[in-house]
Amino acid sequence: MLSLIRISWRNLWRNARRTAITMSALTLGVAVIVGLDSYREATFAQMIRSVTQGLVGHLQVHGRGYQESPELGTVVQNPAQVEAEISRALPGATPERRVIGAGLAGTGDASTAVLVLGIQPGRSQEIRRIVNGQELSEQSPKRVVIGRGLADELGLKVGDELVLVGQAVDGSVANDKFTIAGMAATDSSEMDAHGVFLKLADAQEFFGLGDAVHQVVVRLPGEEQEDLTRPLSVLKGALDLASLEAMTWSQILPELKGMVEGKRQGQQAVNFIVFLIVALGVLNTTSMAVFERTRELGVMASLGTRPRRLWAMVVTEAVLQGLLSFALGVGAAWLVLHAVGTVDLTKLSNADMMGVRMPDAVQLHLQTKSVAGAFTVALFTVVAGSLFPAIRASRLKPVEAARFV
Amino acid sequence: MAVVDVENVTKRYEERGQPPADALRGVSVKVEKGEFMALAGPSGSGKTTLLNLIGGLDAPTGGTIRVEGHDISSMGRAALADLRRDRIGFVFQAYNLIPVLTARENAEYVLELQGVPAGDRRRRVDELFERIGLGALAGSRPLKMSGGQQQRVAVARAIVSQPAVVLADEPTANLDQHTGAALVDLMRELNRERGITFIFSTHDPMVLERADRVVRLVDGQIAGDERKKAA
Amino acid sequence: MSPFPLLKLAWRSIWRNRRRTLISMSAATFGLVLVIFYSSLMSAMIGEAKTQLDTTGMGHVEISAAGYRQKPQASRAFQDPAQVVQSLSLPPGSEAGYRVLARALISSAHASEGVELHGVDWANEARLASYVTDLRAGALPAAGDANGILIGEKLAARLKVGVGSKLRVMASRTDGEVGANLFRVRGIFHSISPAISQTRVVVGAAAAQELLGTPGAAHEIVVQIDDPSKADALAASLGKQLGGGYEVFSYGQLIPAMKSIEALMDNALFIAALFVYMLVGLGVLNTALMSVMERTREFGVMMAVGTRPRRLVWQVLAESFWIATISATVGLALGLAITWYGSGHALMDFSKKLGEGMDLGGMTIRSALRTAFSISQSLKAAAYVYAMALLVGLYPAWRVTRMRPADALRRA
Repeated sequence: MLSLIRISWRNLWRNARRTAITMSALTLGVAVIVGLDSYREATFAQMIRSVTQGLVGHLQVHGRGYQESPELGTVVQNPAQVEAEISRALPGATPERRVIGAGLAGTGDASTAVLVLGIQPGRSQEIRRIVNGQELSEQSPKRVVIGRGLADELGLKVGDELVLVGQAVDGSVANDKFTIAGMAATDSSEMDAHGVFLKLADAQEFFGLGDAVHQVVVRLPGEEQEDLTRPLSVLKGALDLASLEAMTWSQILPELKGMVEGKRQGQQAVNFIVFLIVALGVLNTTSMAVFERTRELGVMASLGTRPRRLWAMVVTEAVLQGLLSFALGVGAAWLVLHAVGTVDLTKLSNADMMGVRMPDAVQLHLQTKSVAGAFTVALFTVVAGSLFPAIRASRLKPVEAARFV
Repeated sequence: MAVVDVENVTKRYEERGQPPADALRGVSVKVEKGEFMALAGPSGSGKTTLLNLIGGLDAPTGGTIRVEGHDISSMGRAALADLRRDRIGFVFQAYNLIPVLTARENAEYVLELQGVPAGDRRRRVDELFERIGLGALAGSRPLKMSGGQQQRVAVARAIVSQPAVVLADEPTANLDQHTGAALVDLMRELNRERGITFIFSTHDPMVLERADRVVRLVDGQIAGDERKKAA
Repeated sequence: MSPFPLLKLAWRSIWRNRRRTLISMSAATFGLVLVIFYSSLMSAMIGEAKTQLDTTGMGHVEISAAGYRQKPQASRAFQDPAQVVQSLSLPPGSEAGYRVLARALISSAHASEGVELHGVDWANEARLASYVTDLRAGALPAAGDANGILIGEKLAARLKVGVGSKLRVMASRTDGEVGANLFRVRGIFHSISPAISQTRVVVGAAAAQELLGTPGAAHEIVVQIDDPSKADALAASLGKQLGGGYEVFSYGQLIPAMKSIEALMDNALFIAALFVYMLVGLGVLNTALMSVMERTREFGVMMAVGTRPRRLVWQVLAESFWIATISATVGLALGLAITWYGSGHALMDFSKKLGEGMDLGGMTIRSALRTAFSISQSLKAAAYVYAMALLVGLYPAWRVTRMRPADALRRA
């Protein structure tokens, strides 16, 4: 085995210029694919983070049927008990209660339809950032924080009064006055423009919900969790599924999940063709190398080298080339990613993609997923490119190979 | 039991667009252990073909070839490879050392295929190199060596694994008189010391002189088989 | 030295190692096809979002009363909208219409949702917004229907209503009161945009004016034109025509993200294409170099019998010429064929994963991606591949000039 690698390694450098050119192509392929893929995966990770740490959370528990048709009356009746069950089933998870309803919010002369969110201010730090005024507090009742877009639209200032009109759970008209404590920026332009945040208790009172809530948002320790199949099934096992439903962020935002997957698929198609081009290059150089060494291969066969070993020798040579290029390519991608550092996307930051705000900036670093992907593809490329010449090498008849001496 | 037993072997080359050529026409010859035998004859008489067939590099059109009693015409590619690895050594006219390997590595190559441990391999090769005067060149690559040196390495490679028979096709053709004679003397000595059977082709009278037995081929048939008295 | 025998000789030379030549040409061809396909996919995506604004009902130019975009209040309206539409001087083929707009709260017996209410002239709206006519249930309300409403499929599901159901719509009136009227669902429309399907409702203009207390007034005029690139110029001329009481925006100003996204895609395309060209170049370089190196002896002989090095250089370049010409031609033909086919059939269809449309910064992009068939764009890509293949031929040609006949002969 050792000598197989040794022979292949030395063979690799017999035509150093040719090897260098083929390796440049491979390296370039690996670098660009790792680089672009890391960039995209970093963007996805950031979007997923803003979803899971923000409004949606990793998992949610609702009253049964709420996701399909979010009625005011479809609720989690005893959230305290549900929270206890969540904490037991998923140690380390932090639950957060939420009431969600629609209403009209306005001042004396103008109003608009808004999304009313009853939240627990201490537990939902990440869904918004106070840009003006103060956070809601337990001490001062009947305060609201509103989205900054809404404040602009209605011409509201901190300290102004906000009239909220809606429909309570029993069908009666809900109507109350609040004082604006602050204004917030969020990760969703919809919430910026139409969000009104109340303390949970105020919202429950406004909609006449008693102790009930619409969502129990669950955040798991560890941030970038894309695959939540296991925690979801654990959670489902702990809950009374006759009256409740539990789902992951990707079930709540299937389009976002679909976009992430769709883009990955599209990238895979491009990767495939790119490496096909590179593989054709490997095929050509390996064929030439085998052709040039016909006699030598014949000699090895005469000395009793089995066909399989000859095959392995040619493939090993290509694999060594692939590994080396892979390392160089990843190194190059690392350098470029770190040289660029962050990509500024503020121009796009008003653009919601499938309801989720594009991040302002993407911090670039090498993504394990991308490196692993490129490794597989690079290896596949060199093996695919060297397979035919390798088979040819193993089929050479020793006498023909060694004849023209 | 004969080391090599060739029985009524024929070989016909058929290539597209050319009339078929009969390279061997019913050749029978037995080679016993320890013989130092030369195949003589003009170019095209079938010497190389016969050596290739004995070495399992090519398949005969008719007849049977046995090496140490095993019929090699019925063997598969891998089995033939193993037979060559374990029981047959080759020395080629053009040396044919593997250019990316050093002299020592070339000689070790067959041992490695056999799975001999590295320490063992090195000891055996070093010992042999000392014996045949190659000690100083063990670390050199073939392209840096003279023809005579390369052919000595080739001989070392052929005998290091103690094969039943070494087949050498015109081993001296690329060497000058003096170097060629020295090489044949070396082979002769190894033949005596180690009891390795040698079959080599040549049309060099100086080489023929040194053989115990000379089999002459003419037009693919045996035209003579002379044994000399042991010197 | 006439070029003809040179080209003939080069032609024979490249086919001496038929397989190698075919492999390196197919790598270049694949590369070219990839670039053509990818760029046509991108331009189709953006192009469709740009030209077919009726999927979202947006205008290439939108007109409203001054200040409405900043503070969209019912009172910021303009009178006689039909008259204003009539008075606009628009290029032929344009569609224009007015809308009464409100942000409203809509409630069924089950739930309430915040929505965008459009009060429209039904006949006109059908030309401006394709979803209005794409009804999955019910029918378009009649012209005088005072309480008919169209809602999207997603909203219908969330409110648990069907055709004939009653809905209460509340919105802020010009007098500061909250207006509330009952409407009856006449039809449920389908839109490829998830946002529109969930948050847009359409009623008659008169019904909306009644709800908001703005009789005879409207908030917006949308103008759709055939050539989106003329939108900025049209917005400027309409702004001049209408004067200070109005504000006029082109779609580029309304969706600033579109330009950024377009620029981002152009950059991505540029990088990807550059990279493919480099790969193609390296592949062709390697084969050309191999073919020269293995003929060292032959070149040595030719030089020994008195061939000038310059002629050998031309021969090597002529070989690159053939490889470049064949790969670029075949790649161009394949690329054109694929993009032509792809302009009629969605070759990449993500609608199973994404739904029919993706909302992206105010645009809606269809998930079943088609390609834009563009001869000029494809020719450009082919020209780059052609240039690249010719360019890399220079290196092996230069190597030939460095050969000395004696070396060349000996080294074989």
